[in-house]
Amino acid sequence: MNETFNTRRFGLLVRRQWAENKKVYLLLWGVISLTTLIFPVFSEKSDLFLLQLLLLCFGGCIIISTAFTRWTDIGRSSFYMLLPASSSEKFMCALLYSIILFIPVYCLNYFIIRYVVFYFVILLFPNNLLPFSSVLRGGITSITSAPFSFYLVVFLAFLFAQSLYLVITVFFKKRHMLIFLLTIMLVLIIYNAGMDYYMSAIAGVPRGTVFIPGFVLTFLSPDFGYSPTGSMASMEHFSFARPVWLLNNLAWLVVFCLMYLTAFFRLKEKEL
Amino acid sequence: MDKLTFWYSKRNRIFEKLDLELDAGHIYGLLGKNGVGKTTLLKLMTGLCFPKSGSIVLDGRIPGRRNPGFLADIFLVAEEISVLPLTPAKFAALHGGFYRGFDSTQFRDFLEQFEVDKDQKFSAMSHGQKRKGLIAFALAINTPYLFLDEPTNGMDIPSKAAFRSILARSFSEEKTIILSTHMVRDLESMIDRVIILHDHRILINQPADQNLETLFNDCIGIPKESSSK
Repeated sequence: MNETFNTRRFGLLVRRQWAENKKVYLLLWGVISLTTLIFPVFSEKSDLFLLQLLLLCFGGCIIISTAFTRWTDIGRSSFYMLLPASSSEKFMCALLYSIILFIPVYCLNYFIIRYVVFYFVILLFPNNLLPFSSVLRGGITSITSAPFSFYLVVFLAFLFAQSLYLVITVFFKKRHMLIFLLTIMLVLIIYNAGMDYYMSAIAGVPRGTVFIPGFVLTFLSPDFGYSPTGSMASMEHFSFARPVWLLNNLAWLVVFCLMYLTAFFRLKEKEL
Repeated sequence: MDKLTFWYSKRNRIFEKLDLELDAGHIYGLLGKNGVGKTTLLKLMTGLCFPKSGSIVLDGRIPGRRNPGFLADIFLVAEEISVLPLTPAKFAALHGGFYRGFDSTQFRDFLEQFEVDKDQKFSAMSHGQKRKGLIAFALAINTPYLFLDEPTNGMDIPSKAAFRSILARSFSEEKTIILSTHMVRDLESMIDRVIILHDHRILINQPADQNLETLFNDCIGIPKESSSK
């Protein structure tokens, strides 16, 4: 018997997880879809990206918590921990739902709602009728024309929220969401303050240059989260910005992977 | 189990250099007062807790590693039951595949004997019904080691009789069953070896050839009069 990874056992775990959580998944899908559908009616276009990012991170945290409740909830955990599958199979099954399947399904759902449902709304007004193919083409163009860096930072933001939430649920028994929000704020404040100091020191910028740290997620802006508000001339101080930005993202990616691994080893060694 | 020591907090040791050997083909009764560590001992044997010192080996394997091969050979019906919001039939369909010896016909038979509806969701069942459903599954997967923590809790008198009958039918020489209980009378006829835990150690591990309640009271020093009350 393969003690590390067996596809048959993995398949059984995947089936089991769906049977256990399908109601939560469908509810989550409903909430995300409704918000995606209704929010644009009441908000500015500029808020939509932030909304989608928050929904993605929120959904990621909910899904990962459904996958790991069985390890952290006392009532359920003894049965789940003794289910004949290896820790890596159980962990991979959780990641399958919360990352590998969730992100594409989320994007597809967003795409369907934005470009298909909205098309049917347009149908109500015959004077403005556009051919469906042009709506679809427009959607595909807007998706493919977005720069890679855009998707990278969204993906990193998702991993940041999810891995942090996972570690918190694994290490703390109660008040996960409060601890999660406080930690996320603390990490970003410390990171922004540290990078502000560091960038000022290495760039040697002229006095009076003001930095605007990315408050929500620093790595969202490709200029490393700092925009000079003085003259455009100060941009030359950031000629190294792109490689540093890439390194910065890579460093975060490593940190997130370490957080997932920390959670994995903690759960593997968990006692009841 | 060799010189096993375990504690949840250092001030309150549960086991101190415990030695225990189990043989296949027996139904063990694990007895002891409340809080003596019966459930903890089951957790240690199934790998839900790790010894602080000493070792546990079950068929050459270390429970704490929780290898799938080991986990496929054991099953624990814990005292606290929290099962998925599924029917017993769906539950068995989802979990039976993890165990080599799962027999769906046997499972349906046991459910019938326990008078548990295979199409009613566990979440809509009483505590006793849930327990019977899970015990039916535990016996139908035919693992070599079966650990039952207070199995008759929440069962009515006919269910207890059904439990004894099913347990006797499904037992074989290759199996080892460990029943942790404080309801000695319910299971006395089933138990063929008795282990009594007291004061951080094992007082007795011997064939159950005399009245278990009397043996238990004699061992831990409870006078007959107070025990009969």
